[in-house]
Amino acid sequence: MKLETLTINQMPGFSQGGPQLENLSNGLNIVVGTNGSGKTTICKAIKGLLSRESLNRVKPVDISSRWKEDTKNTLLERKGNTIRCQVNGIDREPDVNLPRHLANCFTITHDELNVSGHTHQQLTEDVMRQTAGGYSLRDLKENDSRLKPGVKHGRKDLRIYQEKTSELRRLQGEQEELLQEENRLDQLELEKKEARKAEKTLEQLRKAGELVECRDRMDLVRAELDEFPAGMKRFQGDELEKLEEIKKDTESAKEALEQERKKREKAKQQLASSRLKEPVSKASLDRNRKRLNHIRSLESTVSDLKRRENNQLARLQKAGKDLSAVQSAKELDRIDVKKLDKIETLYDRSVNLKEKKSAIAGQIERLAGKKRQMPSETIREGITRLREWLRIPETVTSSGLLPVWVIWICAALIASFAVYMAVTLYIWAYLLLIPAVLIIVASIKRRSSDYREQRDHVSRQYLELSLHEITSWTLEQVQSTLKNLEELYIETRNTEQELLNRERLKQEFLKIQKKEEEISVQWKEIMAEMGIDLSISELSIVQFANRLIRYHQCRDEWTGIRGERKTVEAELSESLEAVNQFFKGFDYPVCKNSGDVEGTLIDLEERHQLFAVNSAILDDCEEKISRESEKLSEYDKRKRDLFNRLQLDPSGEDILKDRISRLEAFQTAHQTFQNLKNEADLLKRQLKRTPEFIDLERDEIAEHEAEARDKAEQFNAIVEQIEKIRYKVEQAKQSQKIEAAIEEVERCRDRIYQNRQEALFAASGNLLLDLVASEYEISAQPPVIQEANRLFSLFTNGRYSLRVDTNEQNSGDDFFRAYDNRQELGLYLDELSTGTLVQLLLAIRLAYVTSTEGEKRLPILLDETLNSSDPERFGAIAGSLLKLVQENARQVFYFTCQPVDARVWEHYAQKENYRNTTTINLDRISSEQKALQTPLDLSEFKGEEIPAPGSRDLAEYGEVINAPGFDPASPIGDLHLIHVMDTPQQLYDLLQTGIRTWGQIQTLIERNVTGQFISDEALTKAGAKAKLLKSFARSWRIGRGKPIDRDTLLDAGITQNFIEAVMEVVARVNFNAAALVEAMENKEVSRLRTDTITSVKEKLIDEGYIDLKPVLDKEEVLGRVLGDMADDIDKEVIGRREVFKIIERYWHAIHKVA
Amino acid sequence: MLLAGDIVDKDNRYYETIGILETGIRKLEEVGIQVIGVAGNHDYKTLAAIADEVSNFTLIGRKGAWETLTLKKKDREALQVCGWSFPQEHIRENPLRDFPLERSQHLPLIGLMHCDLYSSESSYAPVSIADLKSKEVTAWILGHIHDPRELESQPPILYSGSPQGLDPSERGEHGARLLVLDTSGNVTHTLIPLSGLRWETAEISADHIQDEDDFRKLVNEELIHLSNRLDLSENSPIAVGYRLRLTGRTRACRQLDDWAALAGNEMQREIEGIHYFYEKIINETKPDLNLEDIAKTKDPPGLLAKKLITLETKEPVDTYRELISSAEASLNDVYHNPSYQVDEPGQTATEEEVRKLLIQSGTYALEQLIAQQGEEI
Repeated sequence: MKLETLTINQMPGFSQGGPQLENLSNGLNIVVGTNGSGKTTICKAIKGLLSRESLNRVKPVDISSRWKEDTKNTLLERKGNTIRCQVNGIDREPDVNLPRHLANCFTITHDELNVSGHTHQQLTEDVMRQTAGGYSLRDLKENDSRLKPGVKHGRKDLRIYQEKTSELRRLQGEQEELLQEENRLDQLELEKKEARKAEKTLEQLRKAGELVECRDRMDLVRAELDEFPAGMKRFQGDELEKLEEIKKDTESAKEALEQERKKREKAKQQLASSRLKEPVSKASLDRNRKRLNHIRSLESTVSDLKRRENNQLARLQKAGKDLSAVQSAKELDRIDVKKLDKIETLYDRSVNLKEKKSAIAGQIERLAGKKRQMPSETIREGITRLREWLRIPETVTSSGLLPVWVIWICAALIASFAVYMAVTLYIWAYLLLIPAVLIIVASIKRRSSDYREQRDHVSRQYLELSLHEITSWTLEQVQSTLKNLEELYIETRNTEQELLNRERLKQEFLKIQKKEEEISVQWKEIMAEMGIDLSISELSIVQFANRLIRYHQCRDEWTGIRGERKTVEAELSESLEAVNQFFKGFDYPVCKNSGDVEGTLIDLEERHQLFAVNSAILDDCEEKISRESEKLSEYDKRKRDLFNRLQLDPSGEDILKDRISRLEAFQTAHQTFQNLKNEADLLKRQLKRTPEFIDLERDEIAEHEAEARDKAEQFNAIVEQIEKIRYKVEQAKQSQKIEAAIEEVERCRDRIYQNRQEALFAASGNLLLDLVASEYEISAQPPVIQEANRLFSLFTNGRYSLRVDTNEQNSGDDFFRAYDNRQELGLYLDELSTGTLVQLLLAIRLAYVTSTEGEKRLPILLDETLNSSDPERFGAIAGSLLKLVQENARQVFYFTCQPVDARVWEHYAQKENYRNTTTINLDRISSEQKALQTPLDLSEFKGEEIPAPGSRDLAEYGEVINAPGFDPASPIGDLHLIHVMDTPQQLYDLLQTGIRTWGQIQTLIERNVTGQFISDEALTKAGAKAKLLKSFARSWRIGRGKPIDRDTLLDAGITQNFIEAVMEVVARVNFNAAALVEAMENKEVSRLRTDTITSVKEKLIDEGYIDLKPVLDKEEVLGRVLGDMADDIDKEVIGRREVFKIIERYWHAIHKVA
Repeated sequence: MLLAGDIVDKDNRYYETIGILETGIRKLEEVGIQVIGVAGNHDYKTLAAIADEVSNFTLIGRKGAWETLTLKKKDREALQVCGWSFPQEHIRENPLRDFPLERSQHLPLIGLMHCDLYSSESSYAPVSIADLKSKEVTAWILGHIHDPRELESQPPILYSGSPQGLDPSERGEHGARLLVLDTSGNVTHTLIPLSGLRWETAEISADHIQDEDDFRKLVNEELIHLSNRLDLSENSPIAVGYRLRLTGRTRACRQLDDWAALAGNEMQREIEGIHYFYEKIINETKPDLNLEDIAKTKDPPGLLAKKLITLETKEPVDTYRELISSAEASLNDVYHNPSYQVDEPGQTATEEEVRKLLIQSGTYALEQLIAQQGEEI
């Protein structure tokens, strides 16, 4: 079955349509495409068409394909998990549906055929593996951790379990011990009680000992007391001091008595000198002191009134003098003052009225002579008429519009009706147009005549008013006249107002004249009443009246003051009389004024004071004399009592002194005795519970004590023991140790069960694998071996064949041998060349495929199988596959990312003389498809055509082809050839063949086919330049680290949850790993754990993404490059100067970009 | 408060548990609640010790002799409790044979006992429901089974259950039973939830899981579904531990082990104040392999697939038997390996266990074998 076309409509990564392959060769197809162009997708798509199980969990899937087999044309389509098959236009079940694992066998990868350096044993395994379609039971058994647990599996966990178990037992043992100790607690409590009792006994015995001691001391003190005279107990020790005190008191009482007697005599003498028989009453003295003050005040008032009286008299006399020219004083007194006031008022009013009258007369004078031409009302009427005239519209106004329209519409309706009738029914209906026209004309005329009539009417009304003549009734003339009339109206209104004012003033003037007449009548009446000559001037009369009023005032005031003085003088003489009456009782002369009164009163007060003081002294002395006498008899009694109490004679003062000197010794002895007695009583009371101890002797006590002490001393130890046990029990109750230990043991037990489960899993898995291995024996696969042998011979042109032997010596295992037919020699696998070995492996894999695929010959897919292959391997594989396809039995697809591989294949095909080869450029297909989808954008399509350099130099040409710059961070394989070629023409030649990068040249070198594309000389030079740039890049990268990428971060431990957030930071820090770590440490990626950051950092350092070394400067870089390039410089492949220039240029370019 | 035995575990029956129990009983004493209990097979020694120490606790039926206690309410006799305690760890006889009981006919009687209702051969006081029903007892309160369950409604016979699920398999609500006796002597009972930690288990299909994102989504949503299902708004525990069993077929079968191990620690949620977490996620999924197709070939995967089909179908019988017996022989070596022996010497796997193991490990091996040829996209 050969694939003719394949269209990927949808696959992961190609949701909008994938590559479309047409005109496929039924032999060798070389599919070239950069990463991501769809090579692997095509591979999987082919598998997915042949195996329903493949791709069954992949979405989206939409593939269609066309296959050819002899005369059968098969259409195979797959959408999701549905495969549709049509053979020669008829739907049917697909012929081929491989199990997934078998479908995988049709794809051969690089690793499977890369066996360089393998031992014979490994090679045998490799061959075995290929006979099983690439599946190895041994590999699985030996390398799978779950199927091959370690030798010591589970031992560590068992050891831990044993440790934990013994720890638990230990803890439980401790608890058992504690339980036993707790059981002993009752016994210990009993012992404790005993000990406590013994302690108490010991205490009692100590007291009994103290009692014995006390009694002995009492005996001694009693003997001492017996030596003192009787009655010592009556002495208190202060008796001598008391006696001295009594004596002293007696002396001082006698002295005081004498002094008081002397004072009494002196007071009696003073009393006699006051000449008073009895004291003057304090109230009468105070009353007369008040009278004195009153007299003083009255005297002062009298003198003040006299002064005022004199002053007023002088004023009165002066006023009299001012009037003396008119009348005598008596007459003056007769005149009525009220009337004088009225005269003054009338005079003032008369003067006022005169002033008003003259002002009004002036105003009347000013307004005289004003006249009006015509009444203002007439003018206003004229203005109204003219305004009305102006308001009448000249044309048809809006107010008249509506009726006109209505009329016109009616006319139009009539006209329409007329036309309609005329056309449809009767020609004479046109006559109806006439009334319609008439209606319109009439309406226009009517409006025009109305307006003229109105204006004529108004103008006639105006003319009737006899105002300004209007010669022609035009708009301008009427407006001008209207303006003149408006001005005239304002003027006429002002004049009318002034005339009105003059009339009002005249009225007022007449009123004032009337008032003046009234005042004049009153004036005359008063003059007549007062008998004043009317010929005297008004002013003189007023002046006289004023003076007269002043005279009257002075006279009244003088009379008042004189009366007041007389009243006060009478009161003064009354007060003096009362005072003299009082003084008369004490033989004083009569007082005439306040000075006399004061002198007399002071003298009387002094006499009164002398009498009162001495009377008091006398009384006091009498009292003290009697008190001191009483004291003297009291002291005498006390002395007698003191001696009586001591039972001594009052004269025995010496005996008293003797007793007092011995008293202290007696008291001490007596007190000691009392204390001892109390102590003994207390002890007896304390020993009440053990009466048997009260009368014990010393030796008996000692005996009992020794016995009790032994018991008591154990108390503390017992208590301690009890407390310790209780504490331990409490602690144990609070503790969780056993609980935790049980948990630990359980955990260990679980771990051991888990281990056992793992071991059971491995054992059962191994059992199955062993059973399968024993069933699957190579020698039992004759079809595979036969086919492998045939293909092996075919690939090696009949030189080698394959043989299977059984190693009898070594456990009977099968093993392979290649038989060299030319030398007739059996060879172990490791004796074969790499090329032959690869051919053998390929032959076996293909044989396996053939034996399992059935009748159909399905395509073989080689996915990047020859990448980094040496020329021998490449040649061997290429040759073998070309032979295979030459048999016309099988279609082969070779997928590569290296465009140059296509050239190499072509080279081999030419060598094998094979023509049926198709090269498919996925990148080109992709851009063509894009171009078809977007026909306006042809730039990408044009990009495929390389412009010729013409006369441009290398740099200019680089710009034309848009060559990328040198990036020291990128691998050297990606280096664009512009950086290594010397001339634009050399570069153009290579670009035309699809070779763009240094990596591709390296591939050509590996394939040993460079001669077709580039001259040896140019290659050597380019190699040197590439080496130089590689060295430069290596040195430049020191201290800079590699640019970071997503896969590295995932490998370094960033989980899927965080990778997107981290990649955002990565883009921001320009793929710099060190800056990324710093950002992560600054929490720019939230929730990322610190330990993750640390481990990522360590991994990035380990893998060179972060370089902690210092960055090299230009000179250091140059030094290193020169070192690396020393050989080439020596061989003159490249000049030292050129090296300098290149370094200079790229250093500058890189740092300029940075 | 009635305690139906096995309040204390035998391994740490001494002070550590006595301390806690004593504190609890004293607290009840403070609020005037009397505690009456019978001993179970685990605490036949310990409860007696505590009863001697704490006045508020009465252990009835000591030395395996039935005992009746009359309780008073406001100085009037109100209720009788009869009980029987384990005198030793193992009791193979039915204790009800000695149920004598002279009882006051006018008082309700509550039977309190620790016993095994599920096996007449049991070493833990085997009793039958018929025996219990034959006694004139108002209600039977039993201990021994940790799951709270009602066995009979008239008269009520119930296992009170442990107040807390001790093991994730002891799922659902646990707590104390409130017995209410009405004046006519009828008993009703309700469960008062007490457990702070509640266990739940579930089994769900993981067929649709393709990658870790699918898995995370599933386990995340499953906690929310669980919270909706339980509706713990009224009797909310502090935490709910969830054991999830994943079944079905998925291509991510192998990775699920790793994801489950990680998720067990990471996937926890606080929902309406309750902490939900995964106690364990058990991966019982099978790889997405078509054994029938694989078995068509004669290569190692095909042969292995054939064996798996035989194990799953048990056909052909001879081949199946041969497989099992050779597996039993090699698995016995593992069982006898001292590194894996803890405290069950001589234990071997049952045939079903052997079959399951073979299917598990064989499927794993087949998957690994196929993976040698590269992964699918």
